[in-house]
Parts: sequence; C-alpha cells; structure tokens
Amino acid sequence: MKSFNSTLAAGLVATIVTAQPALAEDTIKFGVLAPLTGLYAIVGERTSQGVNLAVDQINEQGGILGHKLEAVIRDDETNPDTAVRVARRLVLQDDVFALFGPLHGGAAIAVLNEAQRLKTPHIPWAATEEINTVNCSRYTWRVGSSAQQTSRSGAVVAQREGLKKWATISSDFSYGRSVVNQFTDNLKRLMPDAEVAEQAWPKLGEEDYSPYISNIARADPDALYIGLFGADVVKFLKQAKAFGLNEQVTIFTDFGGNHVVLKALGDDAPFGHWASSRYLHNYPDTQMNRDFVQAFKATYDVYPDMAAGEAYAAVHVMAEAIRRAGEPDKDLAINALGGLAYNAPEGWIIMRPSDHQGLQSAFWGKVSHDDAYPFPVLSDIQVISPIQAAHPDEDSGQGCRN
Amino acid sequence: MDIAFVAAQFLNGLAIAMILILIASGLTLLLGVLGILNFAHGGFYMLGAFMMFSLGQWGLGGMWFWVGLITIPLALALVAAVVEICLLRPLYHRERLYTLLLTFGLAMVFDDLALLIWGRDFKTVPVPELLSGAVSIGNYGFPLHFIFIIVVGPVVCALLWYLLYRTPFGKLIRAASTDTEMLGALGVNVNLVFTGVFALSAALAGLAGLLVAPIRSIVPGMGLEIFIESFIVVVIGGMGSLGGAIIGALLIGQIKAFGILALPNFAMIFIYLVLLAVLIVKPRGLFGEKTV
Amino acid sequence: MKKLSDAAVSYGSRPIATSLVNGKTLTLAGFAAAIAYPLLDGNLYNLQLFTEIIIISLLALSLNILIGYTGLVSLGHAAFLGIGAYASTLAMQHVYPSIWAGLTASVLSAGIVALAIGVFCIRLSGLYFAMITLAFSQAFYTIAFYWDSVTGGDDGLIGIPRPDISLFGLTEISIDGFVGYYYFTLVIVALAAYLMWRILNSPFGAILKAIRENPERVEFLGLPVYRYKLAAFIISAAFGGLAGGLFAPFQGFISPELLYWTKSGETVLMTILGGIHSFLGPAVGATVLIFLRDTVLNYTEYWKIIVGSILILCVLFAPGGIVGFITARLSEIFKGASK
Repeated sequence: MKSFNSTLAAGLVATIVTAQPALAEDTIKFGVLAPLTGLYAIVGERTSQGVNLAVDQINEQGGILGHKLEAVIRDDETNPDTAVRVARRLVLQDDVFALFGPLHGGAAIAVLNEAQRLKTPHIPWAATEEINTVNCSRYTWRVGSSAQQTSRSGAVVAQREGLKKWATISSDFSYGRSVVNQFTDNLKRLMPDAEVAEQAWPKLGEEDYSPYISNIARADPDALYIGLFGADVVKFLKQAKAFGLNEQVTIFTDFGGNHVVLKALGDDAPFGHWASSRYLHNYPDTQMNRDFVQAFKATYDVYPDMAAGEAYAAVHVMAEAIRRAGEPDKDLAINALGGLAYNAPEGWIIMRPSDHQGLQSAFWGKVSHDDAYPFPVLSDIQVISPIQAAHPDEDSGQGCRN
Repeated sequence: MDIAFVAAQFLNGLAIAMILILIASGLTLLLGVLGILNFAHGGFYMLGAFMMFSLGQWGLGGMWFWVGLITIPLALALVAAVVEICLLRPLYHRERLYTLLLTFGLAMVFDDLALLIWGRDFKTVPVPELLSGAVSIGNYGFPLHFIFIIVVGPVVCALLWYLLYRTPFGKLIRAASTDTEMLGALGVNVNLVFTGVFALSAALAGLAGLLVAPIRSIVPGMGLEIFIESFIVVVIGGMGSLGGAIIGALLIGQIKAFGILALPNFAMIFIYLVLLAVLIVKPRGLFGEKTV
Repeated sequence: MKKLSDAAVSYGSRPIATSLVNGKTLTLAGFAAAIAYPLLDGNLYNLQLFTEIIIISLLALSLNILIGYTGLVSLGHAAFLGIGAYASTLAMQHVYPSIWAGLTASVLSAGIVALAIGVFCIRLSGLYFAMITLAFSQAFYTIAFYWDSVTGGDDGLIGIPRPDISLFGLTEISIDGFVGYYYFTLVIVALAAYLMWRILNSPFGAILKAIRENPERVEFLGLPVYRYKLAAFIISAAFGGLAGGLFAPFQGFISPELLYWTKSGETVLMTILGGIHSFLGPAVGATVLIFLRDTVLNYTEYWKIIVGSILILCVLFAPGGIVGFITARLSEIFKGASK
C-alpha cells in the first residue's frame, strides 16, 4: 500500500501548501486552474507539479526582477462555471498577476472571456483551436501546441506511411471534432486520394466502445485516427486490444503518446503503432530536457508527462515576458509576449503575435519497449515543424486585432 | 450488413446490458423493498472496480481476479450493512426526500475517499489471464472477458431468482415489498430484511464494478453516470420490477449497439429519448402495474 | 416482485410552516443588510459571490414551488435556468441590447417551454415525475450542446453584455461593474421573491398545498387538479428562467453545463437542505451550500468529502432542513423563556 500512503501524504501536503496565507506584497503570484479532481485529475496533478517546479527554480535563481514568484493552484473541476468563479477569486482576492489554465476547452474559453474583463494575462492549458481563432483575445496566449498542430502533423506521418483508407474516432464535443476535422483536412490536402471510410463519434466519457470498435472493423480501414482524450483513450486502447483491432489496423492516437497514458496501459499499449505527445521525456535529447526530467524525477519521483512539460514551459514564458517588460505590469507583459522565444525542454517555442499561438514542433513516434524505462515509450520520433503542420496564420479566423 | 457483424453488435449490446442488469436489479430491489432511491449505489460499483485494481496490484499469484470475484462483493455487502444500520435506519420514519439527500452526501464522500485512497493516476487492471484473448465471429473479434460477463449476468439473475422465490429470506423480501408494516406486525425483524437487501444491492453493484475493471476506466465519479443510466433502465422497466429491469437493460444494450448505425451523432441522447417515449406512452414503465 | 415504488410518491408530507419566527422582521433585516453590505465590505470577490448566491437562491425558491408546495420533485429544473440564460443572451445579442429585453425573453421562453412539456410531465407523480423532467432537461441539454450556430455548441457563448439600464429615459445607470450588478440582481430577485410569496399565499397557493396533501379530495371538490399543477409548473419555470436571465450577464458566458442534470440535482439538494417547509428555506440552503463549497474549495480540492459529510450530518441531526432546525431550536428557546 505504498501508493496509498504516498498519495495521501501528497494530497495533504498539497492541501497545506495551497492553504498558506499570502506572502509579502512584492511577490508575483500566478493563479493556476487545473483539474485536480474528476476524470482528468492525473493531468491536473502533473500540471501543478510542472508549475511548482518552474516556480521553485525561478525563485532559486533570484525570482523575477527581484520579486519572489508564488503559484496559487486551485481545482477547476473541469467545469466552466467553477473555472470562472475560481478565476475571479484568484484575480480579485489573491491578486494574481496572470491566470493559467484550465484544461477543458469550454472552460478555457470562459476563463479567456473573464481574463479579458479582468484585464489579466492568461495562458490556457486547453489545446482547442477556437482560443486562437474566433475567440482570440489580447490577454490570452497559448504556449503549448494547439490540437490542430498535433493532428495536422499526424496527417504528415500518415502520408509518409502511405496509409490511404482511414477510420476516425473522437469524442463528440468541440475539441474532439476539431482534432479529427483538422486531421482529415490535412490528410486530404496531402493525399487527395485518401479515403475516410468511417467516422465514430462516441459521447465524451463513453464507458463501452465495443459497438464502435466492431463498426470500425466492418469498414475495414488501413488505419484508425483516435482523437480521444484523457481516460477515454486509455479505455479505448484497452478495449481495442481486447477486440484484436490492433492486428487489423494501424493506430494513430494523438493523446496516447502521453507518458501517463502509456504508463497506465503498460503491456496493453498499442506497440508498433503511432502515437503523439506534445512533450516527451525521452526526446529531444537536449541538455535542457535532460535537466528538466532529472529535476522533475528528483522532486516528485515520477517522469514528467505532457501536462508537466507544458505547464513548466508556460510559467517560464510568462516569467520571461515580465522580465522583458522590465516591471510586473500586466499590459507591458502582454506586449512583451508577442514574438517572445523560449528554449523549453521540448525545444524552441516562439509566440506568434498574429494568433497568440506558441509555435513549436510536433512529435509522433512508435509505441515501443525501451530497456531504460519500465514502461512503454515512443521511439522512431518524427519531428514535424510548425510550418508543415499548423495553419498559416492568415487562415486563423479573424486573427487577433491587438 | 453481414450476419457476422449483426451477431457481433448483438453480443456487444448483450455485454453492456449484463452490466446494467447487475446494477439496476439492486436499484429496483431498493426501490421495491425499502422505497428509497440510493444515489450512492454507483459508489459501490466504483468501489468494486477500485478494489479489483488493488488486488491486481498485489497479484495474489495470478489468482487476484478470482479471489476478488468472491471477496469484493462480500466486503462491499459488509460495508453496505454498516452504512444502512448507522445512516439509513434512523431515517425510515422520515420523509423519503431526506434519504435521497443523505445518499447524495454519501456519494460525494465515496468519490473523494477513492481519490484520497487511490490517488489520481490513470488506473488499469489487466484482463485476467484465463479470459484474455478473443474468439472470432467472421471478421470480428470478440473478447473472452466479454463472454464471461455475458455468462455471469444470467447466472446472477438465476441465483437472485432462487433467493427471492425459493428461500425463506426471499419470501420475507417479497413480503416486505408488498406491506412492510404488516410484516413488522407479524413479528418479523423488518430491519434485518432491509439491511440484507441493502447489502445485497451493494454486492451486485460491486460485482458489476469488478467485472468491468479490466475494460473500463477506474476513476472517482465513474459511479454517477452509470447510476443514472441504470436508474433510467429501472424506470423504463417499471420501478420495483426485477423482470422489468432486466428487459429494460437488454433493450438499452441493443439500442446502444445498433443505435450508432442509425444516428451516429446522437449517442448522448439515445437513452433519454427511450425514457421519454416510454414515460409518455406508458407512464409507469413497461412493466409497471397501473397507469396514472 | 411487487412494486412499492408508490412509496416514493409520498415525498413531502408535512405542513409548511406559514412563517418563520418573526419571519417578516428577519426578512426585512436581511434585505437591509444586503443593501448595506457593499458599503461595509469592499471585497469585490465576496460581492460577486453574493450576487451568485442571490441568483441561485431565486432558482431554489422557484424549484420549491414544485417540491414544497405542490409535492413534485423535479430533476430537470436546471433546464429552465439554461433556457432563460440562452434566451436572454440571444435576445440581447440579436434582438435588442437591453437587459429588460433579456429578462423578458428569459421568463417568457421558460414559461412557454414549461407549458409545452408540462402537459406530459404533470400527468406523472413521485419518481416518475422526477424522471420525465430529467429526460426533458437532458433533451434540452443536447439541443444546446449540438446547435452550434445558435448556442455556440458545447463551448457556449461568451461576451454576454450587461447593458446600461435606463430609468424612464431620464438617466442611464451602469450595471457593468460588480457593485452595479449586485444591486440590480438584489432588486430584481427581491421583487420576484415578493411576487412569488404573494402568489403562494393567495388562494391559488392554498389549493396547491391542498393538492400536495390530498389530490383526490381536491379533485372531489370539483377543482381541476391537473390545471393547477400545470400552472404551478409554469410559474416555477418562469421564475427559474428569470434566474437564468440574471445568471448569463453575471457570468459573462453560458455553456450547456447549465442545463446538465447534475445542476438540477444540486438545486434539489440546496432546496431540501435549506428546508422545503418554509418559503425562504431554499434560499438559505443555496446560500449555505455555495458559501460552504467556495470556502472549502479555497483550502482543499477535497471539498466533496467535507460538504458531503456535512450534508449527512444535517440530514441526521437537522430534520426539516436548516431553517426547520433553526426554527425548532428557536421555538424551544422561546417556549423555555415564556415558562
């Protein structure tokens, strides 16, 4: 029962830490919304760990412009109304300099709306494309890749592999739909003779995918693109393997390459199939990434996953913007974000001013065993540059006028 | 549509139905005998899955699944008996609304307890070795584990039937569902019957939870959606009717399996549309006694 | 298996306490305190939290027209909150940018929808009524979720304005700020609650209570029970819709989550927790639950275990809800004092 005790302890520690009263006036506070309970709780836990590690490292190096940095982390319950309430509390009561999160697309758009009203810089975790297109706001910038970057680069790999007949499955909500639509869109652009034979849209959180799996098998495609997220992709991959689908089609899963998913799946992982993650602990093999993984492992005794890597980068990007602004001023920091480049563990991130999107490479790899790790990892990494994958910025809806 | 595909979809629907039957039969017993709607019912389903996860971690020499199959329902029956005696018993003489409120609070406590005890990691349990692998139906694979679920369902139903109609305890349960006060007046310890039924319903929900642990996600809150789905099954069948619950579950299972072919974009609403149709046409459910 | 589910029909069987201990004085004092509050505490977060509490209190009060007065437990009341919120947003964004247009649209649309579905719902009682309202509300949730071009789909709609209000064309008052919207909400909800109280204390309200106690007898007296229940359903929905009309500009955005059945469950929870046997009980329940949850959530994400336990303790030791509990204790004290 080691896991019992350590989690309990971690929970209590997290509770005590977050309950600390406000520090001295000249600290800069970052307000973080993360799903600490519910379906995506593990993503929320890694997010807070990534944030805390970045904050500790920044403070060890003297803080931001001499100000101490502090993270105030709150549960958003993956619910838009809770997220807005918490965002208001963080700004009005805790006086945070910037808001981070949430992960849920609709909730992130709701917080974007609130951040605009409260004139507070905002970096969402959600990868939904509407944040940078129709809803683009002066105050909201995304550091992590957008969902469209990942799934459009999936089409690049599909072309390289020469897979023509496709089926797709994704949860029936705006994020899920946009992931798959971006994939099929780019697929048809790159391979005009590609065919999408079957599209399955189970509800978010569906427990039993068996009818969908049989239906996909009926279409007899070469490959299957899985846009499912979080716990959904874990159970889908388990069920697909039980049904023998892994032997019938080549699988592409855009969230399945995330470390927390591969670790949970263990022997049930889709070995030899394609998966993606917006951050990988074993790639790129740079000093920056090695240092981050080592520090993360030393602090939390687990490997950083996608959420941890993205959260870590986001805190550093915002800190860098404040440094460039020269003083902790919200508007100056926003001005400094455009064009900012940061060397993150996953590689360089450049904040594109036209749509407030951090541009970075996407990674797709094959799920495989590696003797260096007790869990599946991605190998044969394909690096797809943002130019190959992302929308050209003039396409991105109305663009950001500010 | 080839025949093998129809057979595969039918079996998929059957497996979904079996899980619903296990949960719904407990719910309908509670409604029929105790007259309560137990919001925490899904909590026992969740605990069944989480306990199976722990057993899977320990391994028990490869026997974890089979040990859990027997011990987890018993353990949950015990937990449920304690809950019933300590929390529900004082409420029977009060308005039913308060029982609803209490079980709602209990469901909240269960969810956070699971989070505190088992942590946030995605949890998976391997399919037990004996049941891993699949049979082929034409071009379609069908997992042995699902076949096991399809077998367990009717076996449990048969045992339940035996318990209710062929044992003295079953006689008491049936009597309690018709007239509790009369039973009390006859000197029967009604409280004991109530505790027994509550424990039985929890064991059934826990059994469903442990059966799906290897194929579904094991997360706090997993009990809420399945609770409402099974309750809909109960209402469709007619509240308090065991046969109704079974037919309702079989119906919903098949609708889930074949409905996605007809209306691929509306999986979310299927079950509610069926509920609406049934309540408008037969307000007391398919097997409810009288219509209002 | 014989059915005993009719037991569930017996929800709600105690007479409604006609007034609190000095109910009127307490209510007026509370209202005065609410008016003075922004002057005493400059904390904007608390102010917006109280705004939310006031709006959700209206929702709980409106639900209690069904639960406490008519004996019908609806598991789909949030549908009216959502319909009101979407209607007011769409009216303000596409028809006429005035908060009055928004509020009118919210009340009307919720009332009309209630009339349409009430015809089916009202025939049922007990848990069957709860389930048919649940099914209808989930149908509306699905519409809000999928009708992208109008409702914005599952992402919802953002940028909902709080237009200035014009007083008889004489002067414009801004309700865009936290303080302005707090007062606006307070006034509207107070007026709505007063209207509701008048309705429930009229002969109409008395008949509703009689229906809850004994529908057969009311039927026997020659009164159309069905129509009275339908009227109660529509009135309850209209007030729920008004709460939605106030909620949308308050949040600045709306999403289908507003209509999801868990939101309805939450509303039932606060109503019963506060006490269904007094007019203001549900408002007390809403206040306690929202405040408790907000406070606990600020310290730990494990708020469910704490709030859940408190709920269990309340049920075990405070029969009749919070207001019932307090009323009972107060009357004990008064009895003791008068001896």
